[in-house]
Amino acid sequence: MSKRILVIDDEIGIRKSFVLAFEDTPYEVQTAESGEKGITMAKKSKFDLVFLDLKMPGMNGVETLRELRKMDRDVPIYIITAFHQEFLNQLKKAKEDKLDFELLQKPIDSGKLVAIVRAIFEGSARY
Amino acid sequence: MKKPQVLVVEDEGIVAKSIQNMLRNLGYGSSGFATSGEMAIQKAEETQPDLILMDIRLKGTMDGVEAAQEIHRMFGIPIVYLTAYGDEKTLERAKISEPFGYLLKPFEEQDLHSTIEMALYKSKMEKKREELHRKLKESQAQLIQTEKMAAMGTMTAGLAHELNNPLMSILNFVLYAQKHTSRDHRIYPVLRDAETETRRCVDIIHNLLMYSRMEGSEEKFKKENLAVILERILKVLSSRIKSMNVLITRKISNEVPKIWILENNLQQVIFNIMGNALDAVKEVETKKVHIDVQKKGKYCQVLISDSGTGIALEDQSKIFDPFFTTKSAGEGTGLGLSICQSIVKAHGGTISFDSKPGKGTTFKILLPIERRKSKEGVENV
Repeated sequence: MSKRILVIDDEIGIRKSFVLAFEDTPYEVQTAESGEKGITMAKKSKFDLVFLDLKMPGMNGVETLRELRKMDRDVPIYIITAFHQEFLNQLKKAKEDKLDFELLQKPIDSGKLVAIVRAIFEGSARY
Repeated sequence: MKKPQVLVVEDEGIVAKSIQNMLRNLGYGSSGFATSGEMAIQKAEETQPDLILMDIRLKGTMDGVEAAQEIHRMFGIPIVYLTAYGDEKTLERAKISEPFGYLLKPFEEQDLHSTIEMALYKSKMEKKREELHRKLKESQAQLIQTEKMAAMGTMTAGLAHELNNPLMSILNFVLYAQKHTSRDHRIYPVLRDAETETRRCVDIIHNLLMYSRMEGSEEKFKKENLAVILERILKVLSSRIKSMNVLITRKISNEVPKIWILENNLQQVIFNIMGNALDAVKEVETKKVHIDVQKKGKYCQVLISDSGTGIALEDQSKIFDPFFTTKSAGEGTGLGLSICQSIVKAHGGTISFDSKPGKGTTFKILLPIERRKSKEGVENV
């Protein structure tokens, strides 16, 4: 079965970017436009990797991260952000609470995205 | 102390002589005398006296009050009126010109003495007051400027963050279109251009964020060795240095201790100045860059000298201004040195340069060896 990626971002352009970037890869991309929606999707079926936006209406990225971690302690979660100052303390707190996540800075291009994902799933960049 | 010089403006020769005698007796110096308003102005300009004794009634087209107003406006010299007329009207007119004293003729030596002393004292105080006022204005302007910059920083940061999302979308849409366009299709180079321009926006926004983030930087001060940072930067630049065939020399004194710095920020400063140095030697015959690091009293001094084109004289006052650049569009945002300056300031240091067009430029960075207390005084211990 192909690896499944969940992208949670309120911006349609960002969600489309992910879909297009992974179009010809063996990976399946699903998207959610809010933290709430993303959590519902994650509850229904298992994902192998999550990309998560920080600044979203409703549940923000850090809150979503906490919920996702309650369900799955091991799935790699990448927070993609333009580094909003207001979330810095929340992120620090999440680290202190031993919630595992990585940070990626926007904007990021498809080449890099695919390379990162490939490295995670295949442990190398041979694709 | 030099005795105060007094200019006498009086159209009656005998009176003028007698006043000058009195002045000499009282120990004042003489700047000579004038017999008309026009002459008074000319004399005042030539001799710049400390005080002028001005008769109100003068022959000629200009009377004493007019001359006094002109002189006070042009040279700021205090004026004492001498007049035989104590009438209200004259007094009113004289008042408008803000005199430093008013003497009714005839007067005694004693009266002249006290009036002059009082006028000189008042004038001295007024100059002091003006100086204080000027300083106050200056610091006020500076404060406003600082606040403006802070507000601009916040706005810039917000704007830059908001733009990152659509930029990421555009970049990826363009890349997608490119991927699905045959390389020999005429649309392909256009898409490449679109990609280049989008990436340029990304760079500009990145720099803007760096710039606005200087205040309240997220990075923590660490005790680091500058030599290590320099080596690292040279390594990063090594391919460029080799391909350009630049001779890099360095003299790093063993005396330089580890100092408290924001490592990434400072690395950016040196990287930026090294980059500028390499740009500067691009077009010249002898391509040399020299790095010199040594201890200078309480400071650690970094000199980066290049043998390049130098900075044009008319540009020298502007190079630290945000958005000032001499590089062509796409090669520089004009924020590099501005950012460098902010970073060095945040370290409590200074950055300056000495440049001779056609000969080269030396940048000097001074960083304090002792750690700088942060504004709150609670920075990591």
